Amino acid sequence: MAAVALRRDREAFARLFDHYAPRLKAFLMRQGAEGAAAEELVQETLLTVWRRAETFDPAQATVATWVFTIARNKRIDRLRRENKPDLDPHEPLFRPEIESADETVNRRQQGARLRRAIADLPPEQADLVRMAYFGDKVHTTIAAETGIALGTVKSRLRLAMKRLRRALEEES
Amino acid sequence: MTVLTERDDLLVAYAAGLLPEAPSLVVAAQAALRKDVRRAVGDYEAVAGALLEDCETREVSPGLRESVLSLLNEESPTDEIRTPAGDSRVPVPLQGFVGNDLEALRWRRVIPGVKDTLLPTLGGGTARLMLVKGGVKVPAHTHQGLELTLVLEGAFSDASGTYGPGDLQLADDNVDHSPVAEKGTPCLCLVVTEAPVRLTGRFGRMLNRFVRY
Repeated sequence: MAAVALRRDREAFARLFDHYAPRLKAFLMRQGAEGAAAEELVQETLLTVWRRAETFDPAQATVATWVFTIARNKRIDRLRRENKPDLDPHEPLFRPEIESADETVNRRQQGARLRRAIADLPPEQADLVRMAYFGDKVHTTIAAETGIALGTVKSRLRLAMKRLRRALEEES
Repeated sequence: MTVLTERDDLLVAYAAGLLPEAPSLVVAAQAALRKDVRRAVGDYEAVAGALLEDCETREVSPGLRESVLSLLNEESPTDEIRTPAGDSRVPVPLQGFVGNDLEALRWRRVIPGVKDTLLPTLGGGTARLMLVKGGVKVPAHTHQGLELTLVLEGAFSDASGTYGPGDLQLADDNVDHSPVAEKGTPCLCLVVTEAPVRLTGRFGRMLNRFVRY
């Protein structure tokens, strides 16, 4: 990522593309995008990664988190335009972008720790976490699909998220 | 250790990009006001990043890579968000919806001392700003689904406690509450209600126009 930002290194960018494009496509499709729409979003996201590379701050987020938030915001913009085709393209759109992230948290080393913590979750909790992020599903749907009571879905998910946040708090 | 609540469910959905626009406004506005919310959202976004890193892959079309690489030299289209200067009483994420003059909005008088104005959000739920004069009591009401009330200025209290700037009240449909604005500064709130079950049929549709809470 540093090579992309500092040297405008195309080969380094191509490697980022090769790593993230297939993951983003899978992620976006799981969130409900059709194949072609997912690829358009992948394209827009990676172009934005290239154009805004110098604004990436490794203390604020991992590369994966940064790439994810760009894709998420592109997806929201797209949904909004689909719902309101007459929208002025320059109208300020709502994006879930927190203006100033919490500057006291150094997120530099968080990626690996968090991935380990997800891998260490009991399988049923890890599944719920994935459903909560990928699924575009409300808890009631998750409850119906898994046959687990709604209250249990919510409390298990919270338990899992609490463990993950605790993993983030260690050493940070 | 922090206890995760219904609020965290909202923050997770927000971080995932799965929360409708109206409740997203509440989260973004509260994050602008409070550091603990910013931190929590950052944590939940980090989880999304970790899930992306370990996500299964789906092969992209053969031409996509070339097409993206060939576009790297192109000037960026206007990608920037234009945020016009907004009213300082509302947090930045709301300013695009509110404009720079709160008074110029189309306010609707609910009862004397209480007025509200709808914000144009998409998707489930409705968002409105509500302004309650100091000491005025909002009529008792229940609602269908969840109601989120974020205090932007002033304060209000009800049976569950007192809420000041940056505080968020989550009330489900079991709560029958009648909040009272604290004396002094008028209480400005962002109120989001989940889309109520729409009444259907000719008669029902007519009633919908009058159903406020």
